[in-house]
Amino acid sequence: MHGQSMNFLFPNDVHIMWSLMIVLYPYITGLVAGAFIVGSLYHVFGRTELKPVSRLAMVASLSFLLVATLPLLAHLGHPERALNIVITPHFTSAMSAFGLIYAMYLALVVLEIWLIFRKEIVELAQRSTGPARAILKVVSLGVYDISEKAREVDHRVVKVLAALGIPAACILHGYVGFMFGSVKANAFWSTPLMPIIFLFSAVTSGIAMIIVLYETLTVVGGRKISGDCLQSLAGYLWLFATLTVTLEILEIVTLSYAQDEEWLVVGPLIKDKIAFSFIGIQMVFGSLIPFIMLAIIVTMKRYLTAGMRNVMTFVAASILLIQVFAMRWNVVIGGQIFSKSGIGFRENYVPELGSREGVAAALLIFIIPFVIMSVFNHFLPLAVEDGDTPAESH
Amino acid sequence: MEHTKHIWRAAILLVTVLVVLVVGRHFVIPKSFGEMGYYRYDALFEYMGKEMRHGSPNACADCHDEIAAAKASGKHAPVKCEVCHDTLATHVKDGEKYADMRINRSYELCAYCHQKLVGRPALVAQVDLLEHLELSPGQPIPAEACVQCHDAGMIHHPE
Amino acid sequence: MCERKEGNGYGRRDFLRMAATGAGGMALVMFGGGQALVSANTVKSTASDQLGPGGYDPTKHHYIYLVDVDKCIGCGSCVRACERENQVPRHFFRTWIERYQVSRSGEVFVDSPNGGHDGFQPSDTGADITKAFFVPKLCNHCENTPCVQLCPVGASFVSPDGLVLVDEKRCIGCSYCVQACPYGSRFIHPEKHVASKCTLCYHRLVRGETTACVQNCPTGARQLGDRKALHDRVSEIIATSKVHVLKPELHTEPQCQYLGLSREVR
Repeated sequence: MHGQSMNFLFPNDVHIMWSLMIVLYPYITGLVAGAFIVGSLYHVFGRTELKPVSRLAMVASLSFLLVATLPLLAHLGHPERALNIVITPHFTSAMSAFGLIYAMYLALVVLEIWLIFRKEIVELAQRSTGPARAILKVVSLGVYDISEKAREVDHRVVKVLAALGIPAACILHGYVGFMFGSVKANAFWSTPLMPIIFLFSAVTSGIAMIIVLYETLTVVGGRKISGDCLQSLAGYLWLFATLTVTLEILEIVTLSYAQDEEWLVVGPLIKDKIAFSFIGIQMVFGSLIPFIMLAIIVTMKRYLTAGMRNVMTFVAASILLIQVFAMRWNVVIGGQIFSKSGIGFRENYVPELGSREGVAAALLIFIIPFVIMSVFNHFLPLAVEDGDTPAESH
Repeated sequence: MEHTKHIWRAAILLVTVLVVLVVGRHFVIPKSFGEMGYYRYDALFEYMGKEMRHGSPNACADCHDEIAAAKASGKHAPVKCEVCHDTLATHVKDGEKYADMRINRSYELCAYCHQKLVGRPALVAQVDLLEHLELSPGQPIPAEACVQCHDAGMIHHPE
Repeated sequence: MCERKEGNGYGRRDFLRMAATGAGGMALVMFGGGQALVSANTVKSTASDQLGPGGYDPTKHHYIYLVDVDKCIGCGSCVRACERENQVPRHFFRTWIERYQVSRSGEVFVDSPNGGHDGFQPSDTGADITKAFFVPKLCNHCENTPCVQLCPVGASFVSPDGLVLVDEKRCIGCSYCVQACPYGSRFIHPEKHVASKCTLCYHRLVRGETTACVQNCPTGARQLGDRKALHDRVSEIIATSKVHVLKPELHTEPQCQYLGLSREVR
């Protein structure tokens, strides 16, 4: 009785409103933004060593973007009214920007991929017959000009689009972070650091996903992994993971040091309620271990064989993918474990298996992008052979 | 500019899609949206149209004037009839009685107000239910324990 | 009322000028001026002529609510009345009562079993309770409300008479507003799958009646006022007494104010 009474929840506050799907949503948009940034490193900043993943990064970004709406639709009480968000977007709400940002980003990525693959599309169209030819003709917009000069135009436009894409990617994910950061009623979410943390962890997850995809695709395709490319990706991953984790720790340290009212719930929350997923998975397993592995890869590369490096990078990237998912989980679910009474905690949330917002549905949604990528790969190969020039930036 | 035909086609396509979306959006904005603010003003009138369940404060006196008059001078005067009974809508439809009014004789109903509680202001008479009924903890309280002594007459009329 | 768009909103001409700047202008209209776009094209001069039953004019009222903590006996009549009047689903609350028991050493015991719907039972905290009281809660109908601010589709709104309401036909059920309400006043209706909350019994107010909770409170702990009415009793009490609101640090400007509120109240 004694302890029970101290744990007081507002009577309407006993439900976790944002479930697994809302964990998945920022995770997927993070992968979209992060993968795009990898592509831009090549197309805009001329990191030529990243050429082998330049196509993969763009197509991965698109594939995840295409399913980004699904977790939201699975979550909404009235998915059939989802378009209200673009019909009457209420711009004082961070969430209302979704339709616009999504549409803008989709246009950008589709256009960029179209330009990158235009040569292949045209060649495929010329080889095909029947309805496939007609479809491909529409896809190529009826222009079969793949002369050197036309390709040169493509390259220039791709560079501009990729440059535009960087702020777009930042807005896309910054807005997702702001969606949480702007809820002033929630002690755990309401911090200006939230969009920045989301953004950096998005880039981290994007790079990690590209590493995993690249190594898998290359090994399965029986090709050789480019050492320069992987080494460079590992370096970027190290940088962004370090920045992400620093910000994540800073946020908690600031909250704890200020000893504001927020700490009354956030303290017990991370020390007890989500200790396993926050301290265990997100911080120790997810951050410390890959940090050490990547540090070894980056600083001691002369002592490592190519095989060791490839395996270590793969493992570190995989762990970081889990870390970022854990971070999304801890923010979304952790932020709802305590009641807005400020003195009560809910039961820990365990997602259902079979419901509309359950584990099975989430897994299904998460598999779709990989299906899209493999279908895409079947028609327009994602692997970049040396000598082949996909929208070379210089 | 040579060799830019495909870029122009893509640009035209994009602008067309944009215009279609921007223009198309107008046809699906609900009628009264934006009349008084960023919402559908008709929603307010939908709320207005909802049926009342509780009656007016003095609605019961329209038919039960004797009880109402007696109750008005009794200790339960501030307690509206519907608090202990049920809403008018369960009893009267279109000014006609269509179902019996609920009479709640349970001790729980009395206890809502009269159970002695730490923190309950002395605005109402309070008893410790178990003590008052001379029951020991764990013994069940008879369902109609209160009204066995304090009958409806006492509840409705001045004491 | 600042909600009125005829005078201070964007005019049709402004919209045309923006659109005339081409695709860039279009994007700008869509991105930054979405609200303007809507108001410019849907404002009717007859907007405020629309009246409710009995000629009720929403612009002529502004409701306020007052809770006198010292008068609440924790009987739960209000919670039950609200449930009956508004068909509130079981275990969800448009209004509820919290019980606070504070010990000499400052321990605070709070409970609200089933929102106070079934009354309160004697509770043994095992502590030396030196003060205890009941606090009725409901939607604060904040003037600067985060729930309306965060609604992505314009389904949550503040009415001309000062009520925070939900358009049940446009709500997409994202529950962002449930997250945004610092007071826990909102919930997602388990059958309708839209945000649901206290309407201050709007259907009763427009017929000149008071809310179900106020009407059925046996001690007058709950009172409803109208800021725009002449000689309004509640306005007078608020103007002359020491009143408090919940979570004032959030600057939500609640229209529901409390007499005798203690610092332990969350």
